[in-house]
Amino acid sequence: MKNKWRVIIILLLFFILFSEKLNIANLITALLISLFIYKINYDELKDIKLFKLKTIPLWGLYIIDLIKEVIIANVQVAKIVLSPKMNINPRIVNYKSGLKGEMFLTILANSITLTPGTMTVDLRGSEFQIHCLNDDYAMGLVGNCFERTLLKIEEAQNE
Amino acid sequence: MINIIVIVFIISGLFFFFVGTVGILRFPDALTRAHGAAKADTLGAVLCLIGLMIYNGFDSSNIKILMVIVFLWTTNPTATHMIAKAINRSIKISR
Repeated sequence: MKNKWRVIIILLLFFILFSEKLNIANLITALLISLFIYKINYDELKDIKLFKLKTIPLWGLYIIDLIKEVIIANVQVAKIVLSPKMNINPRIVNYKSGLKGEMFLTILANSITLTPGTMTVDLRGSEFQIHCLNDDYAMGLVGNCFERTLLKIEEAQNE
Repeated sequence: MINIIVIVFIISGLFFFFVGTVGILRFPDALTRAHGAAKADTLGAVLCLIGLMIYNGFDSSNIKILMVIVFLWTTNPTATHMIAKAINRSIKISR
């Protein structure tokens, strides 16, 4: 029940953020719409786990890492695409992750897809099938910085 | 001065879109083409949107553009993943 009001407050803040004004009428509308959204999405939201506050710095670190990796990888892929003789050796590699939570596995899979050169094709249990453009990307997957940060976050979350 | 920064951001964004399009045309098979198609959007669209954010000045509509970036970065890999899965399955069936 404590979680219910936290979810509703987050929804309410989103509404106010997007409507760009703060008065009583707006606040009441926001509250009613938030309650309505909570009601129709009750099955998904009733046992949602919100992130703990102390993991926020780690998330910041994760986002900085992600942006850095996306820029580096994008420039590398641009070089491969524009070079006259394309140096590619596409293949699918299997990669076992140490993460356990479904949420974290999804975030890791999406991050791997987001960085150019690697793409998650399938996920069974905690084993990824990753399609790589080049041998270098397949090498770079082992012990990547995303997984290290996510393992730290998962540890802090489960404490 | 601000215009120059905006132009640099939008031109580099368009450059990555261009690379993505060339990638679709030049890569040899379906799975590698999916790389080209999806990855251009990640940095290309984001750089264009950051250019728009700077051009707009600093007010509350920047938060909305920021949310567009966040949603783009969560939905784009999901869509790419589904396409890759479908391609992988069709390769297995046709063998």
